[in-house]
Amino acid sequence: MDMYEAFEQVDIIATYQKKPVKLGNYPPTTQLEQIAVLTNSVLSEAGLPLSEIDGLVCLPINESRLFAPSTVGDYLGLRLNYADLVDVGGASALAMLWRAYLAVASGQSNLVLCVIPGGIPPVTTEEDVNLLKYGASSSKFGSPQAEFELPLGFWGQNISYAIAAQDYRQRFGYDDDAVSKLVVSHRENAQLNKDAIFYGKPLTAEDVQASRVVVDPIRKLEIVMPVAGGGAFLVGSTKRYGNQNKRQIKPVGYAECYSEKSLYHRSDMLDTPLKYAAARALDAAKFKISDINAYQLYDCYAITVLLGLEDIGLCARGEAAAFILDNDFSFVGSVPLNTGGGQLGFGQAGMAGGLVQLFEAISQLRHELDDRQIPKCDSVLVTGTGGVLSEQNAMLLVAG
Amino acid sequence: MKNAQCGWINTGEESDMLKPSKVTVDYWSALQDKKLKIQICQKCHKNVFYPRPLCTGCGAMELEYEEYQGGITVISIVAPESVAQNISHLIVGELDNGVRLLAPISTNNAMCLQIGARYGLAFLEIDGQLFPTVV
Repeated sequence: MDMYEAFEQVDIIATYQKKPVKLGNYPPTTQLEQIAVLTNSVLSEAGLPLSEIDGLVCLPINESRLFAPSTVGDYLGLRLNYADLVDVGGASALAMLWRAYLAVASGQSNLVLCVIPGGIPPVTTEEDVNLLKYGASSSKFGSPQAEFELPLGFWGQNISYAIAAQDYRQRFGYDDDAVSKLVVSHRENAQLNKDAIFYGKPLTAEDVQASRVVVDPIRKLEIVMPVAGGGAFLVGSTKRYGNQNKRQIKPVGYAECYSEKSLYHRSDMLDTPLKYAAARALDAAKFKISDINAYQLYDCYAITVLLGLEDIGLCARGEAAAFILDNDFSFVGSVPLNTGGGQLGFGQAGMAGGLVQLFEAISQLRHELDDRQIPKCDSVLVTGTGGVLSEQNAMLLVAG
Repeated sequence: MKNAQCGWINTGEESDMLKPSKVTVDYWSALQDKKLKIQICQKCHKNVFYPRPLCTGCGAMELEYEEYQGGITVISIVAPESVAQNISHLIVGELDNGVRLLAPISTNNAMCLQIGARYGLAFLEIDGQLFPTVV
């Protein structure tokens, strides 16, 4: 049986996204405590009791290096028929959704909780400090980053994304006007999203170009602002939960691709995993890129979106600048893109960042948005990016 | 080489950084003799870097270190926010055999470098350990 046909029996039952706050305004909270609160909130959205959850997909948690799903399940008081762990950074939201749909479609679970805490936990050990400081680069013995990168000061996302941007500039030019227009478009879209951290704070292209160069050529306003937040969603059986008077959300094409963790090892640094994932996802869906109503592309940096537009095939490699200057990315524009402001407008709550793209897609498909509803939205392409263009995925979602 | 800690990074005395494994120790000790040694697969002849037991080209375990003699082409130049005192930049360098590695650039040398240009191989000391650099 075709896997996608089996998804006829599966739907998103509820979503919950915590309104982001500035990191300084968020008291350190253990990830288990965050997960408990997020679970309560998403169950409230669904109107379902805790006892209905019989599946779980989560990320590694700070409080327990091993056995995260069973630790979370125990903390929530659940007896689980299905549990899974994903660890792909900003690609986690889509990776979770895919695994949850498979679990329900295959009968392993009736209701899967997918939960991503997005607040900073208490920092109590040197390992916690290193995790915060070095992020995706492990400082532990035996890790190639600990041995070959960290001693030279090479860590964090900024440097590696700057390397990608330098390569892009060297080959195709890094067009200031296009990059700043892209950032401003995200900020404009965020003015229609009351939950966005930059709601009520518009921006001009001049502001972007006048912002500090953090690592050449990337400027401060081309980078997402870290915030505290987080979110959760429930994937469940339509046989058990009905359609809740909402349009059903179905993945019709999904693919993920993983490549060099440190992208400078890649002989062509712009040979991104997303290029492959997007092509496979569209092929599975039998969709052409131009047939899609909206695009929610992972946007930790402007360069990520710029590459993403090319990776998914809206334009060829090297042509994003012209494409950006030629198009309108608002919800009524020629190419509706990150219509809720993306993460550049909403803020990035750590690993929960990818939920911004996913939840906007779901809301658009269900025609639930007042101020920024795309008039006819039946298909949305969503992408995720983890690490530094190292783990990427693409999912085409349709409603019907 | 300095095993237990890296003086220019404040991570405490028990840092695991720069601590070689049994596979990588030959790479670091060769650098101390001003030799850059890269693993080459004896089956498929792929150059493999960073050092590891398995060829990433064909999966074979027959990897031997061979001294690299050639230049380094500058692919990217970045200024990390935290580096050693005598280091101002890092480059992504490409060896003539296609291997890409990070190389520290001394404060005096950084302004002269150009992306895309090929330079000679040299060695730069940071806190007692030699690293490959360009000259």
